[in-house]
Amino acid sequence: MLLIECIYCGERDETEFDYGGEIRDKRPVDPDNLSDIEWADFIFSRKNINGIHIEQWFHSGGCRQWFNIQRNTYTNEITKVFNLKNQQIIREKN
Amino acid sequence: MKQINRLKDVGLIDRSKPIEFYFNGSKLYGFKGDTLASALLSNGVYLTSRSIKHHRPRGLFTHDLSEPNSIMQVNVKDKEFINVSATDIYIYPNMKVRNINSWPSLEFDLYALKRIFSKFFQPGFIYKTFMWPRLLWGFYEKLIRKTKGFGKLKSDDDSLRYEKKHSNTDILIIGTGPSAISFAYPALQLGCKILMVEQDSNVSPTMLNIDYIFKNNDQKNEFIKIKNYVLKHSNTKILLNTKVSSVNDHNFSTLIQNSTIINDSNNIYLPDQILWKIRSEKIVIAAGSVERPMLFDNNDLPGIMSSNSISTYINKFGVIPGKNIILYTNNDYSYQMVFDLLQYGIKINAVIDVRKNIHKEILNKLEKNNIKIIFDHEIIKAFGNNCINEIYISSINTRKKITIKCNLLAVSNGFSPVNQFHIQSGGSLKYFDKTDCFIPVETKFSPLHIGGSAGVFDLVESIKYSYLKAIKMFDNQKQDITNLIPIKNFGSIDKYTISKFRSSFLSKMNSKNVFVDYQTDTSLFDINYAVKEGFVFLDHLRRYTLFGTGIDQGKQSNDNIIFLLADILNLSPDQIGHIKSRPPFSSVNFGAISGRNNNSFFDPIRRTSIHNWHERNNAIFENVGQWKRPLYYAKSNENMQESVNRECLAVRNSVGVIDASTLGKIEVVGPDSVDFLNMIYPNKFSSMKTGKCKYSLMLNDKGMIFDDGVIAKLNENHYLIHTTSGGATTVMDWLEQWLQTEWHNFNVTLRSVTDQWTTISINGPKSRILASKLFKNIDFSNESFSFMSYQETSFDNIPVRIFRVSFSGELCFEINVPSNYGQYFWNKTFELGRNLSIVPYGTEAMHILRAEKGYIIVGQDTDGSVTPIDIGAIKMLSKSKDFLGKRSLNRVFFHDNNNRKQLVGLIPDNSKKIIKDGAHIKTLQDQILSGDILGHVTSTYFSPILNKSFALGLVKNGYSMIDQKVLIVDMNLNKSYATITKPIFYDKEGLKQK
Repeated sequence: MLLIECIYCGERDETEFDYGGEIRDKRPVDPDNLSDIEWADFIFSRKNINGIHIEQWFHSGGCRQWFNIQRNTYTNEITKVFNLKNQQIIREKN
Repeated sequence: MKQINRLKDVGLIDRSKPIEFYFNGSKLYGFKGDTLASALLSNGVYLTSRSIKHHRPRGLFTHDLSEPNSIMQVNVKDKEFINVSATDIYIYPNMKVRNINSWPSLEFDLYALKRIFSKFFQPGFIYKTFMWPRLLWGFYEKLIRKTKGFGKLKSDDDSLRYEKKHSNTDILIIGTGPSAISFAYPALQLGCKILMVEQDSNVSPTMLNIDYIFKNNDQKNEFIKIKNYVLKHSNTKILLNTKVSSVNDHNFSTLIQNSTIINDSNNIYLPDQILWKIRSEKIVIAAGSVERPMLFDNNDLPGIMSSNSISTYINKFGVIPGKNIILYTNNDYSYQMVFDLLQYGIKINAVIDVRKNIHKEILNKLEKNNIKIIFDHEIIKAFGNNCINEIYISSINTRKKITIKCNLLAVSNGFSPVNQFHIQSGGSLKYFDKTDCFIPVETKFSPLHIGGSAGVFDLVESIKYSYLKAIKMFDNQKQDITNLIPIKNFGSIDKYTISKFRSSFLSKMNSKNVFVDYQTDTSLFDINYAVKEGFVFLDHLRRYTLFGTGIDQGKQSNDNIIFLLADILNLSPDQIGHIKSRPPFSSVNFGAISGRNNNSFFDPIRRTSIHNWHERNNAIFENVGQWKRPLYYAKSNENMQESVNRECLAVRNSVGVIDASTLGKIEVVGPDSVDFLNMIYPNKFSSMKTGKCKYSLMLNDKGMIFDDGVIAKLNENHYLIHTTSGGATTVMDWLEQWLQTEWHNFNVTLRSVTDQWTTISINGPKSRILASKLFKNIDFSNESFSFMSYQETSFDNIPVRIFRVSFSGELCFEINVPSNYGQYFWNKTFELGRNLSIVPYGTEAMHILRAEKGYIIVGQDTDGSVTPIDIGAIKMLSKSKDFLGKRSLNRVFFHDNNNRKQLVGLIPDNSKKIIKDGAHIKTLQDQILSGDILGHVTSTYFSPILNKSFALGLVKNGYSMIDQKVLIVDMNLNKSYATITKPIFYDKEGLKQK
C-alpha cells in the first residue's frame, strides 16, 4: 500500500485516496475542430509508461482535493508532488 | 503421565502445569508452553497425518511455519481452528485434535489403497481422464471435490474473534535472532524506535543453547550484554507469537498475532487473532532460513526430521523425538544438532555425510566423543511402517551398499534463506554458489536482509555482518556514527561449508517415492513426467504438478525443485528463475482480514428520516446502493403483485405518496454555475429562468449516458441538481474532478445536500387537492405553478422547496423539507390526505409507473454503452454549445440506426405473462436459439392500469421495426412472441402530468 502525500493533509495511506489515472492533455477548447482519430486519441489513448510518469490522485477520504504526483510505475517511488492549479511543485524528493 | 521422549529439567516448559488433550480420541499429556507438535512428540506420537494425494503416513518434519505435514483440525472450548499446523498452536486443557485426510483412522487408512492404482495418478490425471464425455464433467467434479482439500468447515460462522491494529515505527525487524539483536543495537543507540516481530513465544528461540554455542566466553558475554541492552531499551517493542503475512510497497507490512490464551466466545473483548498493519521507515528481514530435506526413496516417512528442528525440540521443549539417531547431511552447520544432543548425554549412532571431509574442529569433537562418521555415502532408501526403522546407504564412489538401523533420521540439504518478503515487495534473487541458495538482490527500495535471510548462516559472521550493515545504513543516511559503542570479540569466522549434493537425483528420476514437496505429494517422478510433457518453465511446472501450492507454500521444497529442474535441463539455477511468492507468507484466516468489518459493520446502511414509519407500516425493503427503500407496503390479505397493483392504481386514480429522499441532491453555487452546467449537461442553461426545472441526462465524454435527473434554478447562480439514488456519490466525485482538474477558472462550489432534505413526492390526479390543503398560501393551478417549475415556501415555519416534476406521468409535486422535519411533514400529509384515500407506494410501483411512460432508469435500461440518440433524446443535445460527450456523439457511427440498438417498447402476445428480465430478442425467422440476437429486454412488468404485461428493450435498428413481431427467448430457452412498439404505453400525449 502506497504512502501518498496529499498537498494539504500530508502523508496518508493509499486507502484514503482515489486514483485518477495518468494525467492527460487539457480537454480541447473546440473539440469540433478535431478529426475523429484525434478526438479518439484524446479520449482513449494513454502513454502507460513503465517508469516515471505524472498521475492524478483524489483525497476522497480526506480534504477531497485533487493533486498530481510524479511516480515511478516500476518501483512505486514518488518523487514529486504538485499543486494542480498552477503545477507548482509542493515537495520534491532527491 | 508417561512422557517417553521427555528429558528432565530441560526447556522452557512449565512442568508444574500439566495439560491433558485428545489426539484422535486418545488422551495425551503435555505441559504449559508445549506446542501441539512438541506435546505429540513427547508422547512418542510420530505418525501425525496422512498425505493429501497418496495418503502416505507422515510425521512432523519441522518445528515452525514451514511444517508441511502435520495439518490439524483443532477444537478448544467452543472454538474451532481449521487447517492449523501442529507447530503453530499451543496445547490447551481438553483440546480436541484430529488429523485430516484419513478414513477410518490415521493408523489404518483405507484411502491409502489408492496407492495400488498410483500408476494412474500422474500429474494432470484428473483433467486428462474425466474430460470425456464433456457433459459428465460436472458429475465427476462433485465426486472428485469430496476427496480433495484439507480441513473441513463445520459451522456457518467463524468461531474465532478478530481485531485490527494500526501502528508505525522507525525500523521494523522481522525476527529476534542474533542478527536482529545486533542490528538493533546501533539503531537504538541512535535513537530509533524499533518494532521486532517473533513468530515464536520467546525472543531469540535459536539461542537457547547460549552456554556452549559461542566459541568462547567473551563472545557469549558480549552477546548477552547487547541482547539485554536491546530487549530492555524503552524504544524497543516486541510482538511475540506474531507471523508476518506480507511486506508491501512503501514499507507497509501486515502481521498476524495469535493470542496465547483461548477465550470464551462470550468474552467479546479479547480477540483470538490481531491483524497488525505497520508502516515503518525501514524494514529489516532477519527471518533466518529454512532447512531443505534430502531426497531418497521414502524420504517422507515419519521419524525423518529437519536437523535444526530436532535442536529446537531438545532445547526449547526438552523433547528428543526418537532413539537410534542418525544425521544425514551435506553441510557443517547441521552438526550443531549433534552437539546439542551431546549436552544432554545423548550420542547419535552415526553421521552420514555426502562429502569427503568436514570442518576440522567438528571432526575433532566427533572423534573425541566416539561418534561414527561415514563420509562419501548417500542414503538410497528408508524403510519402515508408519515410522522409519532402517536405512539403506551406498558409497557414492564404489556404490557399495549397507543397511543401518535407525529410528530418528535428521536430514539437512542446505538452507533456503527466507527471501519471500523480498519477492513480495518486488525484488529479485540471485543464486549464490558458495552457500547453494538464492539471496536477495537489494535495491534502494527493498527491505534490508541480514543473517540467514541474507545467506549468512554462520552465527558469528551474521552478528558481525548485521552490525556493519546497520552502521552502513546510518552512514548513508548521514547520521553521526562516531560515538557508537561497537560490538567486540566477533572477529574470526568459522569456514563452514555446504556442498551441492544432487548428483544422484537424475538416476532416481522415475521413483514415485522420492518426495520433493511433501504437502502436495509431488515426487521426482511427477517432476520428470511434467518436464517430459513440456512443462519446463518453473511456473508451468508448478501449476501442472501443484508443488508449492499447499498451506506451507513450499517453503522447504521450492529451492530443491529449482535445482532439480536446472539439472534436468542442464541450466544454472539463475536461468530457471525463482518462484514468485505472493502474500500471504503464512496462512491468514479470512476472518482476520475482515476483522470486525462483517455483518452489519461490513457496509454502512443508510435510512431515510421516515424509515421507522415504513417499518411500522409493513414495508418490504430493498437495497438501493447503501439505502434501504420500501419496495412495497405489504398487506396481510395480498401477495406482492396485488400490493403493487393497488399502489399503482392509487397513483393513477387518486393520490399516492413515495419517500424519494434517497435521490441525490447537489447544490451548485457561484458566478460560473451556468457555464459549468452547460458543459456538464447536454441541455442549454443560459436562458433558464429562476424557478424553472429541466430534466437532463448526464453524459461522459465518450457520449454515453451515466446519470440523469432534474436541474432546478433556485436563484441567480444557485442551482439544485438531482441525481439517481445510487449515483449520488459518483456524480459528486465526477463534477468535483472536472472542476478541479480541468476547469480551474470556473468559480463554482458544489455541496452535497442529499441527507439534508427529505423528499416527499405526491403523485396522482388528486395531488393538487392535497398540496392545496398542505400549503394554503400557494396557488397550485396550472397558470401560477406550471409543469417543470419550482417554488419556495414554508410549512409551520419549516422551509419547504416544492418542485412540480413527474416520474410517474401523473400530476406530481415533489416536496423537500429539512430532514429533521421529514417524519413530521409525512405524518401531516397523511393526516390531510386521509379523505382522499392517500396510499404510500414503494419503488416497485414507482418502476411500473415510470416504465408505462417509457422513462428510463439509468443502469437498468442503459448499460454504459447507450447514447441519448439511442433512447430517442436527440432533441436534448444542444447544437449551439460544447458539452461533455458532444464531440463523441458527432461521430457518424452514432447516427446510423442500423448499427445501434434503440430503446423500444414490447407488447407480449400473451398479455398475462411477464417476459423474463434480460431475455433475448430475435427475429421471427431465427430458429437457432443460441445464435445472434437483435437485443434484449431491459425492463418488464405487468401494468395494472392497462391490465396487460409490457416491457422495454434495446433492439438493433428498433425504430424501423415498430409494429413488427419478434421472438423472445429467455435464459431457460422458453420461447414467446411480442410486438415492438414505441416506448410509451400510457397517456401517450402526456396530458396527465401537465
